[in-house]
Amino acid sequence: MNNIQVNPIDISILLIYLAILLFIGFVARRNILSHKDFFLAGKRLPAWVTGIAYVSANFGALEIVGGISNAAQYGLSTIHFNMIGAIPAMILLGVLLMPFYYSDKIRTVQEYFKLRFDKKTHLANSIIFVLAQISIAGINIYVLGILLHFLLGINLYLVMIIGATIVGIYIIMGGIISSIYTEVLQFMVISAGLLPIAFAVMYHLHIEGGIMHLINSNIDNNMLSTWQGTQIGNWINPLGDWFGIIFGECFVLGFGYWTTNFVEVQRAMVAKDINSARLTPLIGTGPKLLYGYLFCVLGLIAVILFQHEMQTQQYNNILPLMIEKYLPHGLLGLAVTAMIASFMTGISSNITGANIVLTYDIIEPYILKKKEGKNKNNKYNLLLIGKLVTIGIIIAAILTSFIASQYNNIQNYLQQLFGYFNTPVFITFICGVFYKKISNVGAFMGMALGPIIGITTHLILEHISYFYPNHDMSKPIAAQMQNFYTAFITAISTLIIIIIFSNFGKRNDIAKMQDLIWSKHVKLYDRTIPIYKQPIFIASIILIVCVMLSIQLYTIA
Amino acid sequence: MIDLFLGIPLMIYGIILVISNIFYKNIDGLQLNLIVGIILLIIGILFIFKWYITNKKTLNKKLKS
Repeated sequence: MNNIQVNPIDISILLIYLAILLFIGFVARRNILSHKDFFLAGKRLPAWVTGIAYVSANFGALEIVGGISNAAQYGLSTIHFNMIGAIPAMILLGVLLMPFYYSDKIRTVQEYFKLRFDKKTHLANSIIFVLAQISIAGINIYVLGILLHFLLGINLYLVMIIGATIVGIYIIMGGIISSIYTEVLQFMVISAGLLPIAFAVMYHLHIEGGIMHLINSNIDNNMLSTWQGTQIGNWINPLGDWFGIIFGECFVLGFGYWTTNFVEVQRAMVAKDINSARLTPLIGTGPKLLYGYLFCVLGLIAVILFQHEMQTQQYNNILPLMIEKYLPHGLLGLAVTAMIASFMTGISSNITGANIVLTYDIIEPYILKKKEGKNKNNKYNLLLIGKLVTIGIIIAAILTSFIASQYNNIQNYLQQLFGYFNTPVFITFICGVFYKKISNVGAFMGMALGPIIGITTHLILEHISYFYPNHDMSKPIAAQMQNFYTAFITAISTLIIIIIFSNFGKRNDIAKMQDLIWSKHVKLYDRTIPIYKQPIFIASIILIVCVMLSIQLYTIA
Repeated sequence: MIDLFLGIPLMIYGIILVISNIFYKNIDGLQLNLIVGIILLIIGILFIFKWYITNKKTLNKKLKS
């Protein structure tokens, strides 16, 4: 990665940003009077704040740097990660699934599993989630360290500790409130830092001879089409065939990530009422669509502007190069701050997700309640426990980041490993909502065997020539296509396992859990709410925009 | 409170960018620091104004006491 030449003005912008983060934590701590304030923000945040935080929690730098480099490498079809992989899932959560999470009885996604199924399913899900979040936070800390080390020449380990400590301080002081407030600020900084780059490079191309003319004359037509080369049997698109994109990426990976990943759903669960909670993911679709489109355009422009990097396949250098070449000092500092902010949102959302699940889903029910049972006089201060847990998680994440720095590929393996657990969790959740005959044994077996099937499928697909470009196994496998098919096969297998094993074991009394399963109580249209605040109305507009954008992108070449 | 948390930093950044525009060269003749600086300044002022409107009563009480 290139070293960016920053000056005192740029550094001052970064330092002001870090000072404001700590200030937000300092002021937000006055609102923290109980563990409910610390973990759930007292459920009083408006929809626009939770909506921006919802999408901001996803805007890690891997998303931003990776989004641009993917577009430069694969072309316009990477828009599918947003149009197919995110928007339908966000609509599904807002319109259909949010009522099952937003309740006084449920504080985390994992608690849904406890109420709908049994303790072992709940505990297994909670432990896996906490371990995944700690390791992902550690990886984010490590990548933040690498970024600052290369961009600004600061010592890697020092940056890792300072970055994690700053995030830790504002979370410990202000809990989820300061995390969400800083995520909204981070979103503003990311917008203020990255939108000018798009404007600057487009203006540069405009004076060089016109954007569309340069794109059409410099970029291969295959890269300018969203669906070209996705035929089943003889695919040439880097993302593989349409079946994998639609059924693997959209219906399994996208739906699983956006509807059952507590890091995301948590932002909606702290909204002030059920309608605000339902609007949260729908509001998030706007920035997701806009930035997905923007990253694609920047990636395509990079193909014209940075031909050396394209030839040497240094795709991750594109964003730092654009920042350095096209932004004057001042804005350059803001753009570097935006990149750092995007890593910090990732770290803070992982830590706030892990601390609440560890406290509410593991320590409180399985450790404190047992001790309380033995001695009724014991009263536990969950707020203090939550803060201590947060400190423990940050230390664990820093240690993970040190381990990640020693082993080059460990982050890929860890992310892949925890990725195998997402699909079975999502399928079990969907069965919990829509399949009344599911038993506790069925749910547990689905979650236990699903990941094993996922790993096995992934390994088997490596030996099938269909997943290699031109069916030539001497070339590198189409990794995204392999992931999509693995997810789809895992999902179908988990569903079959759940149905088979639901013939055994105890079924919970459906009459007692009407709030947890699909029934007449779920209203798609609430007459007491004005039409412009109706989730179904907003979702329809988003879908229409998506379809129009898809048609426009399909014909761009 | 979120309005204030957004308004103050955006205003500070707006001012810094407007000042930067005087000292640093523009690329492709585009006064990007100035454009973005003014936009951030306006958004920052709007957030602070929104905060003032929603907290007007509390602020007046504090000032009177």
